[in-house]
Amino acid sequence: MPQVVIDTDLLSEIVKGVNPVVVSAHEAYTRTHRVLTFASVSAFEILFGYGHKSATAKIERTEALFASNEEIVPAPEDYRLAAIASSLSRHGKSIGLVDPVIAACAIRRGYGVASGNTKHFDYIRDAGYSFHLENWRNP
Amino acid sequence: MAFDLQLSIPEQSRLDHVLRQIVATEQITPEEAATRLMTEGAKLHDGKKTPAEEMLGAFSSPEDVALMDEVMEIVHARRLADGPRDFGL
Repeated sequence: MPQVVIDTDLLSEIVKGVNPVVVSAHEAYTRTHRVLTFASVSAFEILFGYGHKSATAKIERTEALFASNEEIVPAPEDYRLAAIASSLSRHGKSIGLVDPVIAACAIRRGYGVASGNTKHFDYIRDAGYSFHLENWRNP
Repeated sequence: MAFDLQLSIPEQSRLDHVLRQIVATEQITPEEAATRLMTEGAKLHDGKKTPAEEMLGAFSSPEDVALMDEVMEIVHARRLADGPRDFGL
């Protein structure tokens, strides 16, 4: 099973651990990978949400969990590649800024992407960017 | 630490039996079954969860799940406020 960058929504599902399909996919992945890989933009989104709820204890626990796994801090080259989003929006497929950054981090490192909602990443692949894509909600 | 490892599993041994059982029930290759067994063995040996395993269900209480759902609502609302109108859902 190739190494993947896990998107924000799937990270939230993993820490909840209630969706049996996601749990099964996670267990399969962790048979060959010690850490989960995610982009710092996903960490930012989740910590932003907890901050909005003033959930200080959760912020501390989440930061500890993230710190022991693999967080990719995007490099300038990742952001340049993430500009693929602009070509998609020109064609009426506006997917925001976060998913292109996640995809760019994966593409530049030869990783795949794991998500529970692969539509946006399908758009990026359809635009000609090749990377492995897994749907952990619907494997 | 990556290296090639060649193992010879004696026929009819306990390990042979378990490997065949995993291959048959999981419909995976003998190599994948052996990898799984070694991974499980490593877990038993060090007795600790990996960082990836620690993530699973870290916030699984009903209160934590409800809070995370609210967090994701905030994330989606934030993305919407930032411009895109298609969540891809």
